[in-house]
Amino acid sequence: MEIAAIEANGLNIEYRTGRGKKKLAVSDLSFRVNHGEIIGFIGPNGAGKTSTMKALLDFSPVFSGSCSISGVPCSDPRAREHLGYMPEMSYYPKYLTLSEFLDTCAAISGVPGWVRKEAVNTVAERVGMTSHLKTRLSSFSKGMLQQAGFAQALVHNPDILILDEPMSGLDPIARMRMRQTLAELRAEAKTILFSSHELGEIEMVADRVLALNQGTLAYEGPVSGIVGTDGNLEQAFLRLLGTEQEVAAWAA
Amino acid sequence: MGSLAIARLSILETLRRKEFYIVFVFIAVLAVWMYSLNMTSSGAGRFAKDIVMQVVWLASFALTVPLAARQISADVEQKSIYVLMSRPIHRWQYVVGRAVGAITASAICFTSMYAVLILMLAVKGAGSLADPSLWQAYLLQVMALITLASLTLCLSTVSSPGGAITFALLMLCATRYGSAAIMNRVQQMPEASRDVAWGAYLLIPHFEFFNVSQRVVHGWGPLPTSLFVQAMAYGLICSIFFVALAAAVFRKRWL
Repeated sequence: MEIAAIEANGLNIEYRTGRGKKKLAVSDLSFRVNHGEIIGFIGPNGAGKTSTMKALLDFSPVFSGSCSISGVPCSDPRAREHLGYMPEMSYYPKYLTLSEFLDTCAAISGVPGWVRKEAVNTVAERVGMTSHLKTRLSSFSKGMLQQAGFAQALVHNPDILILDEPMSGLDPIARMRMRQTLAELRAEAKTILFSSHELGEIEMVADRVLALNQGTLAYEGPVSGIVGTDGNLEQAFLRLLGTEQEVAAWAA
Repeated sequence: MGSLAIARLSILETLRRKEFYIVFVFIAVLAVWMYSLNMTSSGAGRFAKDIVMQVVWLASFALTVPLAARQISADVEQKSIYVLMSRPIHRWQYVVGRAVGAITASAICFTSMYAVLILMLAVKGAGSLADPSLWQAYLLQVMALITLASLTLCLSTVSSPGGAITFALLMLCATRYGSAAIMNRVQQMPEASRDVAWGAYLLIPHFEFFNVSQRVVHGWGPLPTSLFVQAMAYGLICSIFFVALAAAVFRKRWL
C-alpha cells in the first residue's frame, strides 16, 4: 500500500480548559490523504478542524492515536520537511519586509542561501506580490497578509500543503488568483488539505471532502456525495452538520 | 541553519524596534557627558570614571532583560510561532536561535556603548586602549549579559514577560549589587536555617563574579588569569543550563 501523504489513525486531541479540566476537541478521528489529492476540510466552528491541523503540525499534543506526514510521525520535525502551512489568521512578524519574511521562512525550511533569493522572487510572482517585496508587513491589508501567508507556505516548494481558511479576507481578484494557483499546484501533483467555510470554493477545488462535526468524522468522500438532488452544497452542509433546529430554521 | 535564521530574525527585530537607535542616542549623550568631565585628577577622576562605567553597565542590563523576555513570549502571544514551528526544526533549535539572537543583539548594543567609553577614556587621558583590565572588564560584562539573557529567556518560558523581567532584575540586583549584604545577613541567621539559605544563595546565578569595574576605576590591574577563566566558565555553564532548561520547558508547551 502506498504511503499516505497525510494519515491520522484514531486521533484523540484534548485541550485544557481550566483547572485540571479537559475538553475533547477531536475524538477517534481516522482519515487518509493520498499524494496529489486536494481535500476540503469542512465543519462548523469548533468542529475540530484547526485542532486536527495543529496536531498534524505537532503544535498540540495528541492524547492518543497517531498521525503522520509521508509516513513520518508528526512529532518528528522531518515530517515537516516537505510541508507548507498557512495559518488561519495572519500571525506574522510585522516588522519584516515581505522579502525578509519569505527569506527567513525559506532559511528555516533549509533552502540554501544561494537559491533563496530566486525562491523568494518566484513565489512572490506566483501570488502576485512582486511589487510588495520591499514593503513591511505592518503596512499590509488583511488580504495582502493572507497572500503573504500563502507565499510563505509555498516558498520552499513543499509537496504537501495544509491551508487553514486560505480564502478568508481575499477580494474577488485575489480569490481568483488563489484558485488559479491551487489549480497549478494540482497540476504539479501537490497534496493539499485546506479548510474553508466557503463551500463554493470547496466544490470548485476539492477532489474529496472531510466533514467534521463535534470532533468526529461525519463524512468522507467526494463533494457530489453530500450534495443533494438540488445541488445546493449549503443545504447539504446544514443537513449533514447542522442541528435539528438549524435545519428546521433553514427549511422555514 | 534553522537556529541561525531565527537568531537573525531576533536581531532584525531589535533593529526595527529601534532599540539600536536608543543606544545611538545614549552613546552621543555619553560622549558629550564624558568630554565635559574632569577625569584626570585622581579622586574626582576615579569617581567620574566609576559613574560612567556603572551607567554603561546599567544601560546594557536595562536593554538586555526586556529584549530576552519578549523573544519567545511575543511569538507565542502574537502566534507568529505557528509560521516558524511549521518548519522542519526541533523546538530546542527555536529556543537556541532566540537565545543566540537576544545575546547577539544585546552584545552589539553593549559593544557600541563600551567602544565610546574606552575611546573617551583614552581621549581624556584617563585610560589606555592597551590596558588589559579594560578588555577583561568588557569580556566579563559580555558574559554577564549572556548569562542574564539566558536566565531571562528561561524565566519567560514559565512566566509572563513582566514576571520574567521582574525576577531577572531582582536576581541581578541582589547578587551584583547586594551580594555582601546578603552574605552578612546569612551569617547572622540561626545555624539550622543558615545552611538552607546558603544552599539557596549558591543556586542562584552570581552576577557579582563578572563585575571588575572597581579594578578598572582604581587601576588595580587585571584579574589573575585563572580567576578570569573561572568566571567566564561559570557564566558559560550557567547560560548553557538556562537555555537547556528553557528548551526542556518549551518542548512540552502547547502552541
